[in-house]
Amino acid sequence: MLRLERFRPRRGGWLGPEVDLEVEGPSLVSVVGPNGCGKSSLMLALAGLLPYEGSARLMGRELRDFGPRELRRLVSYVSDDPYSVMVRERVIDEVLFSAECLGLRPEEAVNSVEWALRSVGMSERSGERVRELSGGQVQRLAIAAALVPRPRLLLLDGPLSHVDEAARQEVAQVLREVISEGTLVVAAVSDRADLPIGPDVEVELDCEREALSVKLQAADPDGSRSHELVAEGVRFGYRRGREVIRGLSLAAGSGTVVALTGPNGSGKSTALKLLAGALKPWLGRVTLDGSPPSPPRAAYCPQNPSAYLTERTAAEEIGLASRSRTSLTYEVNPRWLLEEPVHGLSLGAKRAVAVLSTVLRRPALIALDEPAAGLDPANKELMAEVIRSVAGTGSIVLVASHDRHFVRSVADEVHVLQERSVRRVDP
Amino acid sequence: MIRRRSAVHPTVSLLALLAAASAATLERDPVHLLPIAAVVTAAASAVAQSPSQVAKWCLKLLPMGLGLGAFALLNSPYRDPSLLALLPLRVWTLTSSALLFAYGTDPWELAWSLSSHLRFPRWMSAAIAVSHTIVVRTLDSLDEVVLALRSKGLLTHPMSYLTGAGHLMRAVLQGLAERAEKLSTALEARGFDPYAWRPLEPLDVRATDLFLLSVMLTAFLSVLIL
Repeated sequence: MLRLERFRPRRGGWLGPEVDLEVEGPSLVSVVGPNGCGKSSLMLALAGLLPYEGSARLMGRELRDFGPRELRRLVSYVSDDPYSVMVRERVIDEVLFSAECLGLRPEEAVNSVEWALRSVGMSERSGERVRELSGGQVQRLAIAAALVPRPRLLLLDGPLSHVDEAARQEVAQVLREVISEGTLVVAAVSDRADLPIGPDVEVELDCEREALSVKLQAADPDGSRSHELVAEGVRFGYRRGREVIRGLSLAAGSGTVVALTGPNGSGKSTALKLLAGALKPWLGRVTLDGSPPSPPRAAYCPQNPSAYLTERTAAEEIGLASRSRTSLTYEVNPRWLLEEPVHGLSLGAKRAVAVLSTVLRRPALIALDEPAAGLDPANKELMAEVIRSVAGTGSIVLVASHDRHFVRSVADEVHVLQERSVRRVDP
Repeated sequence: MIRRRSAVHPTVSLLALLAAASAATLERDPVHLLPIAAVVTAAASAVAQSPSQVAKWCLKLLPMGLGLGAFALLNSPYRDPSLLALLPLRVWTLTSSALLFAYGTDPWELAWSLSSHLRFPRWMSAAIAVSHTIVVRTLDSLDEVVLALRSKGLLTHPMSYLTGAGHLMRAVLQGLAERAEKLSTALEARGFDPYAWRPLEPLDVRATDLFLLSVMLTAFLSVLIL
């Protein structure tokens, strides 16, 4: 069904890792490799969106010999950043757009769209706005849009990095169903644990890379001020009558890592923004050292670090923060990495630089939204090390994450958000 | 199941935007411009996700209008104090009409409307739709970007928006460039072809569209005559 021989994606002058693979029938193939080693390029080349060297034969025919329309009916691709590529306002319209692009007749389009939404468990959300969905729901929606042509080859780039356990089981069911209907699924993941079912074939991409390490230390460990974050009976919603958070209460002191966890759509990011002072509660109150939190005393780092890395290199980015009278010292290894263009770094390194450039200003509280999403095991360990270092300098660290293993490795306190309520559990 | 996505018909929304922009640029009396500003603000508030969204953006840009008004007053040989009201009102009208366009129309229906009703070349209408999609997504994420920059100690007080404007622009442009690249790849992966794509159901013109258009044109003509 799919045969790759000395297959290497090409992006300008750069050549990706070489892959040899032969798969006879519908199955799940996983492509595992660290961040930045060329998994996405491999997926794009298999989708016919990047040139390649070597040979790729799908159903006995060379991939580059297919016409664009023919290829789009046979091969579907799901991006690693699905929200950025959504084009429509509502869930149903997003899936319908795929049918419109393929030029399906109305009755065929309606059937395919209903089947695709049902397959990913999104039928009941078909009328909702895309921007109101959680990260995991957006990923399921992207898979639904890719299923519309009922492809023979489904390419998933980082398919489950934002998906919670319940949704993973749903997606696992989707994958089984899609495979049983004759589709070959190729999923690129940074961490084997991101796949909900065991693959039939695994391709491991190997790339040599020097591991990044970041260490932080307070120059005045005994003189650092102690901080206290208190939230009491916080209630909040984005629209009247649609409450997202009900009864959020917690207290945390200096050096504590508090994790907010829960299923997709439970309000983790909303709770994080409320505690960082980015949103005002409807009812209840949040105080940081006795007054409402606000930046830069309460710092917030969104999931996508590219959105707020404004300098050319990591050194300039960190240097910008060091201009403030910081009482922290830091050590980043390897040093040469600091001189690299910041937007060319791997996702894990970008997140580490973003956290470092924020924390050097010594905020009382730092809120990190899904810091481990999409990272390989080495980068998850790096992020955990950075979080522990930050807590060690006396700041309160809030982490919103659906990754239970990551939460367990960093958190002192865990609060689970479910069905709008919040309860504290043991880490 | 298949239905129209645009709250206002894209062509009507475009004409309303043009009428508002023309009135804002031509009219010199703030009293005459007021009804146009009121109509566009009401229409934009009706189609935005929440009415406060329109007011929020207008208020954010109002200081720029006041600054322009003060500058124009100081440079005007007649020292006409009405400039202090006229320029903020122009900025308000242009902002709310842009929001009516951004939030009231579905970019892909707009593309279809431009090429089928106004005979725009397909590639051009698709380019407008893609830009429209990226700009609306960027507006949505702007609050988060500003919050992250404030967390880094930039944009902490109103004056720092002047010194930190470069950082904000770089963050916004970086976001725009990344989105544009990802979106073009995703559209290609979905088989989007501007010359072949067509919506599953043709656009219908509703009574509300005609009402908005007639009110806008009446207000615009009144401004011209007065």
